[in-house]
Amino acid sequence: MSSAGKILLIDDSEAILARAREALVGAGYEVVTTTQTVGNGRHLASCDLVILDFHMPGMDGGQVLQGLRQAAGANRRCWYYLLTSDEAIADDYARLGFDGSLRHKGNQEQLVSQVATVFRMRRLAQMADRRVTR
Amino acid sequence: MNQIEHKQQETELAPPTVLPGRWFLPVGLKLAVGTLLVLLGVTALVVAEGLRQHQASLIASKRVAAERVTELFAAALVAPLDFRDPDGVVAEARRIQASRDVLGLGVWGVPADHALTGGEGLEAPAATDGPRAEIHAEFLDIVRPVVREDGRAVGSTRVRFSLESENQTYRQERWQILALAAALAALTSGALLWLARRQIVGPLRGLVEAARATEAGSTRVRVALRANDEIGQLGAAFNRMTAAIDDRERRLAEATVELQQVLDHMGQAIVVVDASGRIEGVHSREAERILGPDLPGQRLVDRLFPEARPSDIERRAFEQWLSYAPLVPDDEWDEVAALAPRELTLAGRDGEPRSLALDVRRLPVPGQASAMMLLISDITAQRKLERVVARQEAEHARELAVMRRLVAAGGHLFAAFLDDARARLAEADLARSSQLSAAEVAALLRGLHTLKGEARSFGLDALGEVVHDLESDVVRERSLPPPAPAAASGQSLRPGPVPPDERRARIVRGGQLLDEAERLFIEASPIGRLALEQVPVQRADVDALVGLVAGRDDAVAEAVGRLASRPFGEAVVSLSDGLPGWAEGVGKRVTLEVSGRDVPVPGPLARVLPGMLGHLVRNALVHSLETPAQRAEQGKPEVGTIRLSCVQVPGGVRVSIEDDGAGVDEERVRLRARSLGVDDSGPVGELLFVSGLSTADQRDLLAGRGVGLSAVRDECRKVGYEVTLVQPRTACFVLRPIDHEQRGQDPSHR
Repeated sequence: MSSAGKILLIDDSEAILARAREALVGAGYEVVTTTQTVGNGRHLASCDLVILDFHMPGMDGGQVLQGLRQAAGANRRCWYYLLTSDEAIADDYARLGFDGSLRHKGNQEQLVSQVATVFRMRRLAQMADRRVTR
Repeated sequence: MNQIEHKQQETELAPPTVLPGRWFLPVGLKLAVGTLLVLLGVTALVVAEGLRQHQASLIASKRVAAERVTELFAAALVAPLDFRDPDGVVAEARRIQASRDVLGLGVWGVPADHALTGGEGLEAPAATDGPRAEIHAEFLDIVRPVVREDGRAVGSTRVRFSLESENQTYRQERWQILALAAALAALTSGALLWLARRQIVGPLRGLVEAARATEAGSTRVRVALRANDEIGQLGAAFNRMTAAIDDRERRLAEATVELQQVLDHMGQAIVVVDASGRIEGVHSREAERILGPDLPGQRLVDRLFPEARPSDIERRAFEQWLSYAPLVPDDEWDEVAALAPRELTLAGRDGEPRSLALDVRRLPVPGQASAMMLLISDITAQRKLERVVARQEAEHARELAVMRRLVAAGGHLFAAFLDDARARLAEADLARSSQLSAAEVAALLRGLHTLKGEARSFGLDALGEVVHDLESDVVRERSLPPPAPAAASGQSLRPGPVPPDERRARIVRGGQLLDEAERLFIEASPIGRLALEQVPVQRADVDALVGLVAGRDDAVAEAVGRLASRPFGEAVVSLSDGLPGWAEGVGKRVTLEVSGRDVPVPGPLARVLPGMLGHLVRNALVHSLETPAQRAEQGKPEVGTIRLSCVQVPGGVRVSIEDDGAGVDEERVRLRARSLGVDDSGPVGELLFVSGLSTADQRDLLAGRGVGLSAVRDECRKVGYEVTLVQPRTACFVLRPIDHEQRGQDPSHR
């Protein structure tokens, strides 16, 4: 059974992870959740999207993201998105090293719809890349 | 304002089109130059010839005169030459030479070896030369032999006449002639050119101007050419052509207006954006309503997401899409179009979220990035309605769930609450009008307070609020200190009478809420209204009681029997819960209809009934009911129905189960029976209950072992009931008390 995409969710609250996971799995995605920012190499190797809660320790320094990208190794396709309720932080995603940001933290309906949008963008980016290399 | 633009009438014309690589030579100029050259050439030729002839004639006349003189001279020389009189020759010569015209002469004798006179620079004529005239540029030589009367030549003479005066005359007259010719030529060419201009160049220029005016968009241009020649025809054709263009433009404009009206009425915003995402055309009124005014030139993203932050994912996705979509090749368009956002939810202007549905079409331009046409519909109202409905449904489901829990916990408690609540409301109503003592009021308030608490504990918050308000009313009327905690309704407690309408309305509302709660409870209860009338008893007590009255046939035994029975609805509960799952598992859709939920089923049967009914229902599902597709083909509703009913009959109950499926397939049953070696004659109803017989193709969890029906029959008989198939066509099975059957008092049909 092929899913709509593989997502890695990283948040320090198990409760939040559970609710988000339920919503996303219901929408057809393959979801892995963890409260740890390290030790995710196995999942990162085949991941399409990583959603990182902003309030994890060490986020500001950018090391967390670096660590993740390194752990992802050969998988360059993975996109890294920030999840936050703060608009200012959301706007700052590029400086923090992310590919984008998701807002309305806590609202599962919004999460699913935003994730769907991200995957649409991925698909379009893939098509654009294909054309360039053609 | 949002009209598609028409071409405006322009007074400024574009510069004339120049053919590349060549100079522009007006026809008039060409005609003029050509005419002039031709005329000049012809004139020059004619004049030259004329002049030549004129000169020749001047010379000819001189020649005649000169010859005459020379002949006379020659005649006069005969005598002197004949008589060898040199003086005579000289004398004659001098006479001739006196004329200014004569430049010189020479006379020779015979032989002509030396000139007898003159002859300087003159050539002596040869003897054989006859008379002749030699014409030179400046002079004319006449040569004549001097011949005696008898024809013998005695000499010859050459006289040279000057052509000076002729030349001079010629020169003078030449200029006059040239001048005259030039004048004539100029006049002629002038006349020709004027004629050409009037007849050809002028009308042509007029046509050119008219054509350019038409090209620039003016549609009223006509030329007035009166001459009935080719140019006139051209002019007429041009007029017809512009009239036709005019007509077509007018019709196009009308069609465009119609189209515009249609688009406006579609209620969709229709905008066209160019490859850079800017709005280049607005094609319906709705566009302004949805996207705001002054659209052309704006970036669509700015209008669709007026308040979105740059990191907003929807905005980014749309920008990405808009930048990529114009460039895709045709074979990828469908896929890309599918990735366009179908629906956008924007923060609305007044705080309400707005929902817009988006549809995209491509307008390909050969050789360039395409423009996009977007059709945007405002579906805010529709989504809002959907949300309201969903919320109401969710609310209802939640309440139902609450009620179900209530039912499970103890319907009798709820029943008691309902009675209590109604009583208190009635009290409160009465208290309005009468004068109650302080003690009575206090009791009333306590009662209301308790009611409020109970309502809240049953999850009936709305009722709790109403009761709270009633409490406040009573307090106000009696000017008593307000009950703690503070009022949730937020009213200020002013002492004094409450308007009777308000009070009455509250009581009525309270009554309505109680009725609603009761309805919901009954809806939630698998045994319906009965749940309100039950009390829980211990099974052990009931069993003991049953044992004690065993064998008795009196009123007590009857009452105990009723005590031990369970309402039919209870037996059906597990079926209702499990049926949707079983149906989905075999790819069918079915609903359960139950009648006789509150009919009491005797204890022993009640214990085994759920299991048996389960068997029979599963059988119906697997064997009798068809798939939705099959049902649709037959014109039946896709969702099948299984009907369970229970009625009281003497000796117990009659339970029946039937469905609207294909029924029992008699042929298959008989076939299967034969293959098992069982005698297949006899009613198919009996064959079904043979152990080991199943027409299912595979054993799944639901059916197939062939044990079910025979086991059902055995169970039934153990509790004194018989199960039979009474109607194969509807797969109708019936359970009846055995005693009843044996007594032959069964009122039901076979």
